[in-house]
Amino acid sequence: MKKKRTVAKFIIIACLCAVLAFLTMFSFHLAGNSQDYDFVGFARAINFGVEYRGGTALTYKVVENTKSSNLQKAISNNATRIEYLLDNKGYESNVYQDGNNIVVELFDEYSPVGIEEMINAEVNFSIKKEQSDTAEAVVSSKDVSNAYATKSGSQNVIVIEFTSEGSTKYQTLLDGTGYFYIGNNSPFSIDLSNSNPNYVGIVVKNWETAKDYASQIMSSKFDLEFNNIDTTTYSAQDAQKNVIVMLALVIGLFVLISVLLIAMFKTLGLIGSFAMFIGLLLQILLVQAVPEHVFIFTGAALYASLLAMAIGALAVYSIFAKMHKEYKLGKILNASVKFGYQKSWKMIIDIFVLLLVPTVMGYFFGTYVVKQFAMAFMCGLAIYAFVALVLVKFFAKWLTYISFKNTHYGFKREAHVDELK
Amino acid sequence: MNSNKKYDFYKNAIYFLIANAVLLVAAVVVLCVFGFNYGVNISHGRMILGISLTTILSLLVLTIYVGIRYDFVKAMTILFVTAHNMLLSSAIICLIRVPVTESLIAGYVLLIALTAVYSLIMTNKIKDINLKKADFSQVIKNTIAESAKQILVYSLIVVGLMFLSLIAFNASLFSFARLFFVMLVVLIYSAVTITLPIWCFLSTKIKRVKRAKVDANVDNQKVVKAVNLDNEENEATEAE
Repeated sequence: MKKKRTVAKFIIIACLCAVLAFLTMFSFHLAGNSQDYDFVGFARAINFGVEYRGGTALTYKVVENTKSSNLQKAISNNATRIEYLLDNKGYESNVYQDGNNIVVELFDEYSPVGIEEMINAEVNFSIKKEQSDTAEAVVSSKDVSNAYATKSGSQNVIVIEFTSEGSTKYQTLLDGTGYFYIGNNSPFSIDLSNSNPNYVGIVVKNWETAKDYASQIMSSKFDLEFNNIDTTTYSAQDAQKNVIVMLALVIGLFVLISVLLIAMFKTLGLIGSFAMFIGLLLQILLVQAVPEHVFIFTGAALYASLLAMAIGALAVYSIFAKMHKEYKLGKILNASVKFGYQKSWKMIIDIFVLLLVPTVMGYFFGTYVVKQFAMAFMCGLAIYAFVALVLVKFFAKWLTYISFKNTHYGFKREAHVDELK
Repeated sequence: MNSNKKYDFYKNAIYFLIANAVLLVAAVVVLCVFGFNYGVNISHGRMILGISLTTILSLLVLTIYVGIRYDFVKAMTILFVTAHNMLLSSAIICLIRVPVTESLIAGYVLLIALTAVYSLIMTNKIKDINLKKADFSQVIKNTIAESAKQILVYSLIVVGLMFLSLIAFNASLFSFARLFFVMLVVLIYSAVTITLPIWCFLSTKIKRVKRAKVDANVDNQKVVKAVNLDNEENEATEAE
């Protein structure tokens, strides 16, 4: 009865795993009554970097025309502004800060023209009493201390805070309507009577617009210039080659792990490989679920993912080795599997925690490359900790219900040790 | 166990640690004199702030975790060994002029994580040995022999994957890889030579302190008893 139930459990898990593998690898078209839907396989839905998708990576050196007190803030705000600017112009892009440089990645764009002029275009911010391009600005970008996007209930709001000097100027506008000029967009007219003299909130349609405008206001505070110092183009063939190499590395490592586990622990190793395969599918599922603005899969992320997989395999190996050790000491199969796991799971948790802590800190305080590395490593460690601590435990326990020979586990008793009664 | 062995144990550990402390002072001097060779134009302040915050907070959390899970001697060992590894690897990076980029933080993240894991593996192997009675050299020798295989496998996996990734994506990973190779050499060196002496030294030191405290309490009790007896005697004579 127990044997039949265990076999059924393995079959159900194998079926679920096959469905997940299918959804990971294949994309397909679904016809609906009102709307058709294109399902993109999980593996393809990962937010790949420019080296895998093809395109151009442009590196711009940031030059300060006027010294500002906070260059980091200036660069970071300009990176956000440039990303929205390129999105509005129809480019699919990823913009990030690399030291004192800004890197602009344009996907599927192999010979972009006029990007430097576009991002170097002057950004202005002013509040005027009249709706006229020639009217004098009462408040300008120098009078702004901070600008950010926030949510107030369901509304998306841009909050503009003024300096003490700006606040004095702004008070002269409080008896009527103010016209807000942000970049090249058409001005907002807002009734300013009874509003706070230290800050103002502008309600806009969506969250993206709020962030775009806030970054434009902040960028207008700094006088920066962007000079192109490097251009790297990844052709479609290069990208395809990189994807093939990536697949070869992932599959190669998985096959190596499986072969080693099966060679050492026979059926138990096969079960371990099965758990590792589920881990790999879950890793892909988790990585593709991380939003694009948080995580882009780069070369560093691939290294981190492979490293996490190898650490997961070591954890599985050490659990099996401990089970083998218990068997060597004279315990019966069931007991060696049970006590082997019991004696090793705490150490496995410790290793995963010790690896996770610096990675989490690195994610919070690191730069772009470090964040990509840390995010991929965190996802991998979380999944393989689950594999080693949960899946391996149950799979090994279930195996003892259907397989009773020590040779199926690759276990050998030491010559002088008898079975414990 | 005879007294000579006990004497050797302390002597060896202390001398070994003094030698490493001198090496660390030299590392600090190298760091101050040479400085990093910045490979690209990076904002140094931001990178140093990132490294400092990552290191300090990671070590704080790791110390608390290991302290609660095991003991604070082990936690202190991880703290010292990580500080040693970071200083020494930074000094070597300065000395051989490896160009530094912002991926240095990623290198330090892996260095801290692996140092903690290696230290735990090494110290767990000798948790049942009575250090007071043990032969220091033999303990170190046996433990290294037992855990060297595990350390070697871990390191080989890290290096192997790095090489494979380098072959595939030389441009994006190269700056990180060349920094991390230096760190890995220091990591293996420290796992084999520093971790156990520090742990053994701290373990015995702390046990000593605990014993001293107990002794002091006993002495104090004796003094209190003596004072009480004196008082009783005085009262008795006064009554007479």
